[in-house]
Amino acid sequence: MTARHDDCATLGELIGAYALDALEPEEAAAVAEHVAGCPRCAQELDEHRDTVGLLAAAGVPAAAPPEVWDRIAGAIEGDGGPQDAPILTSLGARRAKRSRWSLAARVTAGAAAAAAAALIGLQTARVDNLDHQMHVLSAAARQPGGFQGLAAALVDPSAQHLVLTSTGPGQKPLAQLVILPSGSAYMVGGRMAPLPADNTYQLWAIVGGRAISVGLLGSHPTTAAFTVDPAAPAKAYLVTVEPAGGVVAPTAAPVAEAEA
Amino acid sequence: MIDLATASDSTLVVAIARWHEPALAEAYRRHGGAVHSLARRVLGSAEAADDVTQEVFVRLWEKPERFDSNRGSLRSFLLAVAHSRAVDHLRSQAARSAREERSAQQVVASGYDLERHVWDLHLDEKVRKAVGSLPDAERQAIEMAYFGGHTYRQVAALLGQPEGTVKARIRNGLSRLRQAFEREGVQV
Repeated sequence: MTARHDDCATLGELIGAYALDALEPEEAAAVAEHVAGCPRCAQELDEHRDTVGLLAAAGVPAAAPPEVWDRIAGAIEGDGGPQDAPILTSLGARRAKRSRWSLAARVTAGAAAAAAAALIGLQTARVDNLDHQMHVLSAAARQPGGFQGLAAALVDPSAQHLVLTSTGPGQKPLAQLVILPSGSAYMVGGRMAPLPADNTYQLWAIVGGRAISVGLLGSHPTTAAFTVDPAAPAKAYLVTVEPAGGVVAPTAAPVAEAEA
Repeated sequence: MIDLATASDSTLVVAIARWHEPALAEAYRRHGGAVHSLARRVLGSAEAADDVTQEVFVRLWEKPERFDSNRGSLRSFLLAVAHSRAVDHLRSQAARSAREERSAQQVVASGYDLERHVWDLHLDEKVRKAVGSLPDAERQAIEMAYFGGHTYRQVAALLGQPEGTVKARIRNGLSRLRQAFEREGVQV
């Protein structure tokens, strides 16, 4: 603790300059390390960053230059996923990383969340706008005919049938996934334990070593409709428990999985 | 399917994480101008700003999980990435120039006033007032560091002042600026 107080005195002075990107690389690294373990300095840094953000955004009604978009579009063309940052590489690798995931899930719930999540490299992005959220699966059920295709899909001989099983002891079957060659897909017979209202089950497809969100299943899913990209078949599907708005990358170990 | 025009920024990022290119285009339409303006203000060159803007959005495409909506808006996040990349450009450019025996000061100063002028023309009145309420020494240290892309040590050398003084002015100035933004009702 003494060491930390010393750090606060010496490194704390640099927090303002750090928020402005105005430190030498070695100093910046020292401040980053200190802030990751010091909630008080982390708080000060957050405040400075908010202030700097206002300053940065202050003078800018300018339109985005279209010619730069052409360059961006050219740069990302055919980039179906960076190979250097797999969130999940395979089911096997995911198992090996489980302890790390559990840690991430635990600290995300705690007060030291921001700093610890940054250290672990798993940051979450909450989805704030439920009205416009893509692939909220329960929305499909509200629309007339949302599950119109389900009966046909269940008897379609070309459909792929997968069983989602729990990752816990016993590997209990929790639901069935029915995936048509067109990409239309359904989850049926869901038997997952109900969650508190501020949590949701989130379904992920593992494509190219990356977990891609397929959609939110809600807190007590039984049946859901979703779509998958038929051009990029998933190796596996996973279900995680996430905050109600959903996240862009899994923050917790899967509670259910299905291998394709 | 997602209605891009009305989707929230967070929804766009979720779609980007699913490799949905139109969502990236929409994020670019909303924030590309701000990113480009800031990069241009720091770098003093439209061409260099083009490069940084491209980097910022390609990075969003490749690592959307770096954005955490609990910690601020997408625009703030993209501007922070843009500033950091712009400063990297500036410093590598400055290092190269130093080898060519040109002073870093000249390089980072080139075009600075023009870009500042353009920037100030568009500055929100409340922000202008808040920034104007700072003591000159604090405002100058923050502007030189942030918009000039200088380290606090460079700022100290350029002003002929002790490094500790500049460090403290930046820190105190940011705290004061935060209060001024709150007073003027400038929203995060």
